[in-house]
Amino acid sequence: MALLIVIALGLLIFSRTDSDTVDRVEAVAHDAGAPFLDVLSRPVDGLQSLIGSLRSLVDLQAENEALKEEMQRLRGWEAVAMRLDHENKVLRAFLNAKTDGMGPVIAGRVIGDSGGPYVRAVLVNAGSQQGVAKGQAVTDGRYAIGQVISVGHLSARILLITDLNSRVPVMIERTGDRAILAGDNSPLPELRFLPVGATLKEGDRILTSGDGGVFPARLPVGEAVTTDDGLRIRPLADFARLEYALILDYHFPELKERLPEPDEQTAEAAP
Amino acid sequence: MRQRAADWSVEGLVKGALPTISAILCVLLATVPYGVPQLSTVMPWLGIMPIYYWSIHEPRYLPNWAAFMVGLCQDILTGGPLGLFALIFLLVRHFVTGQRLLFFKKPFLVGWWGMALVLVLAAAGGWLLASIYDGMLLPLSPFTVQVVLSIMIYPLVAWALGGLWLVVSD
Repeated sequence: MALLIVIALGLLIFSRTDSDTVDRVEAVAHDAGAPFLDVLSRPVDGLQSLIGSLRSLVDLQAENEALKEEMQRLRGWEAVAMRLDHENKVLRAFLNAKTDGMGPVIAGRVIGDSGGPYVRAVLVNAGSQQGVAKGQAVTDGRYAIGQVISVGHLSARILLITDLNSRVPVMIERTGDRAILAGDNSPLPELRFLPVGATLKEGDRILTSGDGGVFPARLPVGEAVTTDDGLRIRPLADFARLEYALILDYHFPELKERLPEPDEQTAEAAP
Repeated sequence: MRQRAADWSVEGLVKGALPTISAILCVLLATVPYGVPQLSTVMPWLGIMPIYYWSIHEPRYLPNWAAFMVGLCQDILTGGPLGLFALIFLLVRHFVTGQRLLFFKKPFLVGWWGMALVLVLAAAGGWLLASIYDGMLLPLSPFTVQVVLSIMIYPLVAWALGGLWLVVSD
């Protein structure tokens, strides 16, 4: 009994101080648990989609109309997007600008939840075998949801942006002011380190800033909402209905690639 | 406590393993994503229920080290501080077993009351330890809601475990 208590306390202290080793051990362990969770989560998923399809049967007609309308509207945007994409490429070519390296996206099914108030993280059934690596950014397809904190062969754990250990460099879309989105295990993370004079208003959209190189820039994260506690950020992603997580194999362009070579600089400086 | 010779037959081993397996299953069930908004934060603490139940009914089949391992499973699956649940489950196993005659073969309400007490103490301990671990006070309200939901769902879990106990104890 005493020995086990000492081991438990030792683990707590050890995991606090040497998280790398613990991450590796944990990755092996959640790999072992992943198949069981995978099997258990399937009936739940099935039930959810059944309820979903029953619900959508009820308002099929209205939804159809709404979708048609939306498609018309989006067609217009598609044309705009294609034109802008083309223009963007041409302009980038003119500038000889380096673009961010975005590799393929890895999809993982969410098989485990945090199941309690201690931590905000999910387990997905994709791991190093699928190309997942520690530190990669994760989205739900549209919005940033978190980043990979430990990777096994077949499973990976994603720390959600609402976890108290999560810090994401972000910007306010309206003003471009940079800040850090800090989770505190509550559903609404807060914006910290806003520059002096920056104003955050209700409804402001928050995007990733791309600083630090974990998240690609301008990925929507949340919007400002008023609470008793002042303005907080409501994540745009619906964490409860997270069925799949898309892990971005994103490479920050190397700093040295961006800076001109030293001899180039001197050559330019020379008259 | 009735003492019986160790049963090394296959049937005996399976029976002996059932309490631990049921505890691990409860941990897994609490970790599966259910798609209900905000549920995962206040998900009833299913893992602690079989620890409490077997500590009263068949402590020999759920020794200290088994409670420790079940806790470790929960630590690993949820990604919380490693060793936190291992420690909590171990302490719950130890203290409930020490007081088991207060609850053994007593009316269900007595067992329910005991579970409520254990849940409150364990959640308070967990909150304190996790707050120390993270170096900040964790929001208290999810813990409160979790305890209330857990107390409400315990009769269902106790009923299921009661069925299992008939198998284990015959």
